Amino acid sequence: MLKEIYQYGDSNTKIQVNNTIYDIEINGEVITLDGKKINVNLSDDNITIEGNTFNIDFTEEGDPSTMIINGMLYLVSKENSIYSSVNEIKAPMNGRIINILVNEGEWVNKSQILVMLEAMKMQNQIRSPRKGTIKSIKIVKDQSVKLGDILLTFE
Amino acid sequence: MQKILIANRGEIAIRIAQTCKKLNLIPCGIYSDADRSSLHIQHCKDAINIGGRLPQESYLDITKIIEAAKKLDCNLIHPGYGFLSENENFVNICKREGITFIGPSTDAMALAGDKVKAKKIASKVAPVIEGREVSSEIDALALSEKIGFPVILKAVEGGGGRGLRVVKTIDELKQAFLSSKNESLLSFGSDRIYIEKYIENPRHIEVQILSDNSNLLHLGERECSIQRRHQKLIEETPSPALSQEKRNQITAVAKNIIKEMEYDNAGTVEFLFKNGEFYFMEVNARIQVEHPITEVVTGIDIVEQQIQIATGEGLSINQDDINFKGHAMECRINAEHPLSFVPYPGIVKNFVPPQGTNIRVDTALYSGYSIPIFYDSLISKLICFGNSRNEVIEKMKNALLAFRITGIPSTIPFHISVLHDRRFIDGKYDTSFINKMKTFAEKKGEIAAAIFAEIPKKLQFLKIDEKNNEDKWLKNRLAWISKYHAERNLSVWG
Repeated sequence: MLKEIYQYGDSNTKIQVNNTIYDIEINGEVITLDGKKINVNLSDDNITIEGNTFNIDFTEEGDPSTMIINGMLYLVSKENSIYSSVNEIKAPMNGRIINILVNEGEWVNKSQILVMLEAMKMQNQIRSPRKGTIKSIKIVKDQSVKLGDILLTFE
Repeated sequence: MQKILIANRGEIAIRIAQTCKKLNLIPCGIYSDADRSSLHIQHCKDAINIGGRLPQESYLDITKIIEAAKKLDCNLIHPGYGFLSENENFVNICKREGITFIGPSTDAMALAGDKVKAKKIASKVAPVIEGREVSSEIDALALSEKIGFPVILKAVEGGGGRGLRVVKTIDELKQAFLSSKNESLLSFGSDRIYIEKYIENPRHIEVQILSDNSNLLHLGERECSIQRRHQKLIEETPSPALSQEKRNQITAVAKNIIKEMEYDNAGTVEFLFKNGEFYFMEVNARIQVEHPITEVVTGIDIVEQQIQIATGEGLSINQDDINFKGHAMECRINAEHPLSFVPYPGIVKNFVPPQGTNIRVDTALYSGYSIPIFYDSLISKLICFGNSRNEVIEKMKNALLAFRITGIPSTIPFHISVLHDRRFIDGKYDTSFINKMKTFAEKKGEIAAAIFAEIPKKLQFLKIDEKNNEDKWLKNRLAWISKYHAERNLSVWG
């Protein structure tokens, strides 16, 4: 099974929803919202947050993105500079590096696959959250990594 | 058993079919090529595909409809609302072909359709807004100066907001006069214009009438001031703006207007209401979108009465039989984008209407239905009934929250926002309500934030497999049709 992961490092994301700004930190499967770790389970048409389920009626990406949740409208946007300020890519989970697809000094585009990480028999594509030049690669193939270990850095 | 052709589509066709079955009439239907999967077909005993997709190729094509009626052996036709419901020519042709049209006589229809004549007759018994038809630009200037700005320009033979211009100064008048004339000519084939004093931010209140020439009664009023671009979105009855005294006045005046016009069948007399005064606006010669709220507070089936009047059986009720009970409200749920308000046809992924006592849902939606781009964006009407207005507001809020329409955006968030607005809760609103409205959402922004954060991982998580339903011709037309709808404000029935 193959899974895609956007790895945002431990940078804080600021997301604005209907005029309120939320601090969101994404680390693989773990989401921290305004400093509080939350358990999120997203399925086709609902989302369960800390055991409470909400219906997702409609989503449309844009600026702002439009969401209708339980019949209510949410306009969501993110601050532009968030992802371009990511300087380190960290491991989203414990696992084993099965492939490194970039070299030091290489220019990468946003969403380009950087590293393949195997965890619990699942191959995870670690994709780049930004465009930029890879400064250093801190891991080697077949190395085991722990959640939060730095994998590579940007210039 | 007699057969009746329902010359319409969607929810109103289904609603009419239900009454037909109750009256032991056999409901028959028509559908366009774009409506092959429309639910109304299932509610008809027989239905004929009349081809076409655009209204003028289908539900507005008189020849095709008469042909269908003959093929299906129907000797009655119910036009529903919109389409041919107020087309005098259609009424005439039905008559000529020996088919009973469920609606007013040709003369009554013609009179209701001519705003100038209707106003003239109504002015004998009702307060009207100062103004008249103008013959030229010079005439328009003279009249506007006499009655004072602001004034409004309207198409004599038009409706639905087309040709409407509000003019605040002399300088604006020339340009507005020309463009109103042109638009009117393009839309209605007539460049007759009339000008009247513009009543700023009035309330819109209408009275439901039933008349069979020997008997005439009213079914109370409907408050329809929650509008956007002259399109009604929420209606309620009774109106929170009327005292019992005003209610008695407005309903009595409405009955007098209908009498003067010698109007028969179900009709609606529309008024503007401002500073405690009401002014006659027009008579709508059809069943209206918002008729269910009147039905739930009176217990009268308006379609049933329409059929009885048209078939000569006559009204089976008197004014004394009408007992108004409780309060009712209708939210019109349209498929439209919550930001641009542009009609947003698409595939309905999940459709789960709210259930419960005193909740009525008139709709033709179902899970998996692909909303065609050619017709009105109204996809569902949610009607709630209760003992008091407050009770209805609470019931409506809960019903809206429980209403699942997924895959497409709708006006549900809009309605939730209105129901939380202090001005609406207090019943103190007019047609300008929307200008100062704020979007309401419970303080659960973190849910949206969390979903947003998760989206990059599951970009396609809500997308339905549209490939199977892809229709290139449709896709090409989509942009054009959306623009057409937005520009012409097509959703203006009722």
